[in-house]
Amino acid sequence: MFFVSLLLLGKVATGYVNDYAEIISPAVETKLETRLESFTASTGNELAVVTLKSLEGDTVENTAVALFEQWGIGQKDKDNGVLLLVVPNERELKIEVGYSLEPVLTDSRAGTIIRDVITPKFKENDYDSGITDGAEAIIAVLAGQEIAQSAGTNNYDGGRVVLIIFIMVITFIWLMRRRFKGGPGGFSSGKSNRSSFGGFSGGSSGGGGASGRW
Amino acid sequence: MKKSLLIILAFVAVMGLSLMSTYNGLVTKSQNIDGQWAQVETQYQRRFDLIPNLVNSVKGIFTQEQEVFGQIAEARTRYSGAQTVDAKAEAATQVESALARLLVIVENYPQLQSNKAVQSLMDELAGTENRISVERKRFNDQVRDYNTTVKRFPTNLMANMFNFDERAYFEAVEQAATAPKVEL
Repeated sequence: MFFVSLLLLGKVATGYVNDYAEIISPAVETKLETRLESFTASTGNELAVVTLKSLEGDTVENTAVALFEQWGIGQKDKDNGVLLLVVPNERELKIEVGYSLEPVLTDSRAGTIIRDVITPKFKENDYDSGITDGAEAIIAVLAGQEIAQSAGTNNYDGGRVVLIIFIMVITFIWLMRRRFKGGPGGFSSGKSNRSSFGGFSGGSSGGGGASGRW
Repeated sequence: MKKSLLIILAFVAVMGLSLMSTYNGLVTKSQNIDGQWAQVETQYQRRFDLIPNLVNSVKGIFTQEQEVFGQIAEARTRYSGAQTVDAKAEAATQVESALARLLVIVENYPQLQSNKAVQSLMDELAGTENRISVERKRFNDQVRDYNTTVKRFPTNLMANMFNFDERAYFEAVEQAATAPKVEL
């Protein structure tokens, strides 16, 4: 019964980002939430970012599987969800990958993201960048791109510009789609975007991905 | 007279329907266990597919530790020859402990930690070990659910009649129950 964990009891997803450990700054959290929402709108994949205060003695692998199961990240028949779980107390993290994304976001790619993108930032106590860059790297891999190393922060401005344009285009398309669907439409703030989150869609995973520590 | 006959007929029909649904329930649960076991075997196969790559990429570096490669090869052969679920489980457990030893050895070689190919193989291996433990845990959950059903009254009468025996759990050795930690 090692997946039934008290620490997940009653935890309900309130968005794509669930910062129980409170290590992400509010501005970054809002931005990331919007980003993940547009990611789901454009690809159908669901990426959940979760921080937990502590593992309460369980392993990060078990906790990730249990949380994935409890929330059903990804679409039900597509199993196209990814969970990025960060636990600051034990300094451990896990990227748990839904069944059908395993061939794209392989264990070794997940491991590379953890080693080269996320943990270097975490070691500098920069959770905001580590989590944001990690999420972007996961999204990039799922789009079939190579993993960009986050060695120097300032030497890939070109990439950043492309990224910003990409985000703007996606957001624009997404806003247009919403408008045509007869949704609230128009430009809404991050806060009210959040209320449109209706829970994850019932996908499942089987322990694929990678874990690491910092 | 006619009325009581109708009552008896209705009773038999209800009994028949409930027996049928109990029977079907047992069949479904039993099938689910087989399906879940196939999931476990898929992950075992994945592990075996990874082993030759891993062994080839580190063999040259580990000149002193040829023994562990022998153990892995032997356990692998035993797994392919295993016919029953129990024999397969036992051979898989042997592979697991040999692999765990290999992982410890790899951790003690600092020059491997900068080797990208080895790193990515270790990621794949650690991920596979974790998948195995997840699918195996789900297998055991389904066996537990089935066994509980089979043992409870009145299903147990039905189960006896149609030979729905209790199913065996997959008992992993303690150290192998958790995925090995790979720190590179």
